[in-house]
Amino acid sequence: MVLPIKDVEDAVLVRRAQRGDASATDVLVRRHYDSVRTVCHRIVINRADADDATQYALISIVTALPRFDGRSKFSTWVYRVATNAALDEVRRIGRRPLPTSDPGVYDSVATDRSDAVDAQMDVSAALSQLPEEYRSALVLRHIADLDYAEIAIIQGVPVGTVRSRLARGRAELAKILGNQTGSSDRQTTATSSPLPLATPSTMQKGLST
Amino acid sequence: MTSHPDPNDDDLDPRVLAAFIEVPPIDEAIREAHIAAALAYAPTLSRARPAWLSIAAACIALLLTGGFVGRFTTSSPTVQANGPSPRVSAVKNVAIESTTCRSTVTGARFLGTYSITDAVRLIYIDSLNVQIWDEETCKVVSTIPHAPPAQP
Repeated sequence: MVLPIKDVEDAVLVRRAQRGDASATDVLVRRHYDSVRTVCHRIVINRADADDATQYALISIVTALPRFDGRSKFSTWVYRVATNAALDEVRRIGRRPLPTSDPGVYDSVATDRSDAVDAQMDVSAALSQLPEEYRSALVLRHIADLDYAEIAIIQGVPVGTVRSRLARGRAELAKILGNQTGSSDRQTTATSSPLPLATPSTMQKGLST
Repeated sequence: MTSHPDPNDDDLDPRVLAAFIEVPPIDEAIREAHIAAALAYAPTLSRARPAWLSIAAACIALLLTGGFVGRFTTSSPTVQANGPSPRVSAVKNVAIESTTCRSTVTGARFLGTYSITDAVRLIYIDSLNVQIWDEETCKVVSTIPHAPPAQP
């Protein structure tokens, strides 16, 4: 029985793509698109820049695919490429984005704010205040679901450094969000944001530290 | 999510984690544009092979539709337009070119072969036409223009 190509596992598709099978490359790119985009959005924050990073990441994946050696899972490699593309984009724009002062951020959902959207914006604002290495560590851990060793490889640091970056990143995130992690009585109405929005002044303060 | 070895992983509030993972939806057109642009960077081999196959497949489709002979210039009467539809094999992706015919064909690139009931056809392409040759006789069976004639 022949599986539909969309059901074929990554490792097989990678081999086919490396032999020049365009349909395999197509399936791989589509399959991992959302992961790449999520990583780029959480590292770059600003929506337009994140979309640019997504594009660069996808191009990098396609062009580097023939050289992928299969020593890691393909998804891990994709996350690594996406993370590097996002970090390159952050460095390229030469600034840490300020999502709440940028009308282009989340403009498509601005007219339909919900608790989830509020939380997204608050987390984005909070993330934007974190040092880049903390932010990318949190993204790799909690979005890419990578273990410490994999993150260490991607970031080029020892596992212990990953551990401390994650701990500090979580602590700073909790602090920025009003230290509400773990509380059960948090308000969750649309008129009262469940997580405090960072103001430009607090964000500038965060940037200066 | 898989199980995590470090208990500190539980420190991220589930609601924060949910917001962390969610990003705004993307417009489908932008998504497709991203994917198309990326795929354009795929190695040349990825795109060249389907192009070959599509031309060859087009040839087979034309051969199977009867009427083919009358619509295109042919230099051989060997194709029977009114005969039964021949059984055609898939075009061989990696085909062996007939060395006998190679010396006859000039200025065209070999694409592949396919078989009908009692013969093997060779597919060549030059700058203007796709040529279908009979392997045994080494004669052109059909010529299919694939590019518009040059403007005067």
